[in-house]
Amino acid sequence: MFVDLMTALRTDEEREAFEDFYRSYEKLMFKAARQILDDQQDCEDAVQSACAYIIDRFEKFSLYSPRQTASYIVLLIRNRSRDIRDRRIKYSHEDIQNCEEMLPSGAEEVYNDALESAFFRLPERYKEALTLRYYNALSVRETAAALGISESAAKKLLQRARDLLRDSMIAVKGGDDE
Amino acid sequence: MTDFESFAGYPFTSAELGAVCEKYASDLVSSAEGVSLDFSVAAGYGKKMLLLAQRAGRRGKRRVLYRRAAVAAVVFALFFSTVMFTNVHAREGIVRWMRHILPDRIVYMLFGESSDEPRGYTVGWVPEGFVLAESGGEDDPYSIYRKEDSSIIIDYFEMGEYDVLEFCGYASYTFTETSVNGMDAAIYQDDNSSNLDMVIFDEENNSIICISSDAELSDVIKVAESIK
Repeated sequence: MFVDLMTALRTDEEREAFEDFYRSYEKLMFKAARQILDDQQDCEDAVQSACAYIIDRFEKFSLYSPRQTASYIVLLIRNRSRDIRDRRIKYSHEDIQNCEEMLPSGAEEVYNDALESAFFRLPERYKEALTLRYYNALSVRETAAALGISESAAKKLLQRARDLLRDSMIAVKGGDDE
Repeated sequence: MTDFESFAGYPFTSAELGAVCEKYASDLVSSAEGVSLDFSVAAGYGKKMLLLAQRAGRRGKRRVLYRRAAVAAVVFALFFSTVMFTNVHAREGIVRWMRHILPDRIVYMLFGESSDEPRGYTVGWVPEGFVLAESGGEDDPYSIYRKEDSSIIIDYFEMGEYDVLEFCGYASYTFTETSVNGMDAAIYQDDNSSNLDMVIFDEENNSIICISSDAELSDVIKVAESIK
């Protein structure tokens, strides 16, 4: 990671590449922020914070497919946006509830199997952690950085998420057997 | 990715979990893409991003410089410590240099613990009334001469690997460089008492002779000159 930081956007080519990257995902980033934040300035702050994170790891982003990149960015923005939202005292509990309703819950989805069903019943935080780890193939340390939490907290989060998935699948299977 | 999950007893593999996560990720992106923005994203914000990128570039260059400076410092420290460890003359040079930049402090030169005690030195003369009170054996040659409350302690060290530089904050001491029987020597005299130390560098035998005493300086010099 230290090497990544040092080599971040050192050349004009890299800066141009980042600008292209930013232009490609600019709208998506703002839209992801807007799902959680009402204020335009807050959205800009969330996008800027996510971009600072991306710049420091820009080389790695070239390894992802466009779909992986898009989901990674959305997850980053969502976390940055939540941090900003949580810092704003002005949001009432009701507002937060409304914001959460804008997030994809998957409640009305038709699930293919027990794993999928159990996964979509997990809290958002768990789903995000698992997605970063298993879809974006981030290390635990990188997952922690993306979520803005410590490495040990990320380990616990992933562990709980997997345990919840397992317990939920066992419960579903038990119900089916009955 | 390893299939840790199936090893750990989970009823799914990491690949299966990854596939489900992909579906969730796809939903997330679709959900975000469906949001309509009630403000313009491009107005001026692109410049902000460019500034951010440029700052990151500068930060990266600074970090490269810091890393190079750190590497250079480590290399210099290793080189310096190696020279200091292996070369007695380099250590002496440092001590002499420090005397120039710290004129109000005296730097003891080359007191140390020997790994191979010098042998074969004899003391040919001591002031009247001083008698040999104590001496070390073959392994630890030293001698202490006493007369009532006064003493002359003569110790021998190998000029070598275990030399230690010792900083002494004694502004009350006077330092004099001299020579004894053609050998470099140094005298440290306490202005507030009669205590003095004399260090003789016997480079021919790779040894340091140290004399600590509260006797007269002239007597101590005679003792030093009598050591063969």
